[in-house]
Amino acid sequence: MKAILKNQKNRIFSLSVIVMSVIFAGIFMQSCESNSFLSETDSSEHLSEIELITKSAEFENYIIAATGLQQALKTFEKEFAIVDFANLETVIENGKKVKYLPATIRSLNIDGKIILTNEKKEALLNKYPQLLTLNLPDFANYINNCVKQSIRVNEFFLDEKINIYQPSLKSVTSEYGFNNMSQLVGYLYNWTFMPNYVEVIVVIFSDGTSLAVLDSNNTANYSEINIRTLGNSHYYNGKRISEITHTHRGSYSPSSADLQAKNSNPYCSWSIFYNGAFYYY
Amino acid sequence: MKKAIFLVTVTIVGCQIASSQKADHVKGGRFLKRIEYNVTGQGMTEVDNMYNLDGKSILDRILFGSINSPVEFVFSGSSEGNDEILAFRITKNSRMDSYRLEIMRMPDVKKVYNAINFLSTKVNKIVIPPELIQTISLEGRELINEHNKAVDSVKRSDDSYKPYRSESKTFRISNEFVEKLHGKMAALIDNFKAIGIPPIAFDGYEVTFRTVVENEVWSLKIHMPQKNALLMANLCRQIIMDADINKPDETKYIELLEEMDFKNHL
Repeated sequence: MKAILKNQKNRIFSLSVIVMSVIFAGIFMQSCESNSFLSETDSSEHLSEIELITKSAEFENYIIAATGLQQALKTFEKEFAIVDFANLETVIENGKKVKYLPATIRSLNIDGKIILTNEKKEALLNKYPQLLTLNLPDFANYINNCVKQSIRVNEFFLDEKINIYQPSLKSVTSEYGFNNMSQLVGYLYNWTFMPNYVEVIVVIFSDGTSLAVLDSNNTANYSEINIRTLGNSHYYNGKRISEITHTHRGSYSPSSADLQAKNSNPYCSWSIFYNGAFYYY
Repeated sequence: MKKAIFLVTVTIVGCQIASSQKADHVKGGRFLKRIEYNVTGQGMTEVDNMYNLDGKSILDRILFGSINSPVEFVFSGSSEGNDEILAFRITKNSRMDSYRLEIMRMPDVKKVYNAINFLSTKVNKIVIPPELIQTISLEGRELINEHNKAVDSVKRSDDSYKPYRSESKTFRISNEFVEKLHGKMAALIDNFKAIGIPPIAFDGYEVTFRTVVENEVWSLKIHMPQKNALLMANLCRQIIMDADINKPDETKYIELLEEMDFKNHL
């Protein structure tokens, strides 16, 4: 009798789990459909235009050149951090003493890559001037479309060992630590010239260290961060914050959202990093 | 027992997932949803009514004057990015039998915000803490009193805001389009639900949807809208951009409104 009851309980339990799984799967699928509906509706009217542009050789060339530059800048950042400036290669050229950066940096040919990227960008915009009217999320959509279907772009990624799916394997928020102000300023200055620039927020802690926080929701004109408050102090990762800054490329003026952020969180300083300097507001 | 606990946990987690899927705004930017009387004082005719403008910002007053139209939309960018203000409203004509779409574009957000800052000194009362009042001269106190007495009428009158209003373009539109847009916007505001705690957000843009529903005026202001609100904001921006080049396409808008995945309010 007990065995029958236990058997029945197990059946009811299994049935409940299955029914609930089906319900949640249904809700999830409905949500997915709704989300895909949103993006489809949003892009349907420009579908033919997107296809035309993203399948063009000009767009492929631009992505390849811009990615090459981005990779070179990343390598430059890593190599530059370990340069021993006291022992640079010194030569006498035309009677003048010239110090050279290591060959690993010189061989990156960043100047050439910048010129190439600008040439490709110009060629692209000459052919498709309507791209100038796109905002960053829309332009990112064009890039995604091209990356998805272009064999040339994907071959380039494979050759350069670039894993475009890597960001989705990481946590949503990326963080980069700095031990002093000159490191931080150097990083931010280079960051604002990146071809794939998005706003970055820097948290400066009361112990003098700082952390660049990059949320996957950030765009070229939007950024966000989650902090905690205890008493009269704000905290990030358990460390007390003395200042929060974020990057601008347009101007040093705070937007209404910037002012709102400051007014709602009054226990630290607030600034904007623009054109190599911090502007307090 | 263990199975029961497991079942309860699964149910709770499932419900949380389900509710977050249904919310329009998940850990998103700030928002304000407001429902209030549309008219606070009846005039001799509908045109003379005293509209409830309490929920309107200085920017809204610059754009729309002293009336609440059946449908209003404002997109406010920031100087870092979309550096302009876009707006439209739908008004009834004087004979009340047809509707018009009126669009406005104001470039240079910083310039607009300078005007707003200036106007805010004119339309807000000066309140001085009691411990500081003695430090102000008698003449100064009289000037502050005069300013405070004048604020209510200055705030109410359109004269203060009018000089900053940009030129607009007006188009005659069909009743069908107005009904569809009004219904969907009302449904969006009515069903809007947010979940989570907002992050600290910098820059970005803000949109305001406003609609008159019977005797009430409903408004929803969102910083960085998501899902249905983003869809509606994109459509509203599209209407403005198309109308700005004199090519509004009602058929396309009606199709998009019909495809929107939320129920009509009316």
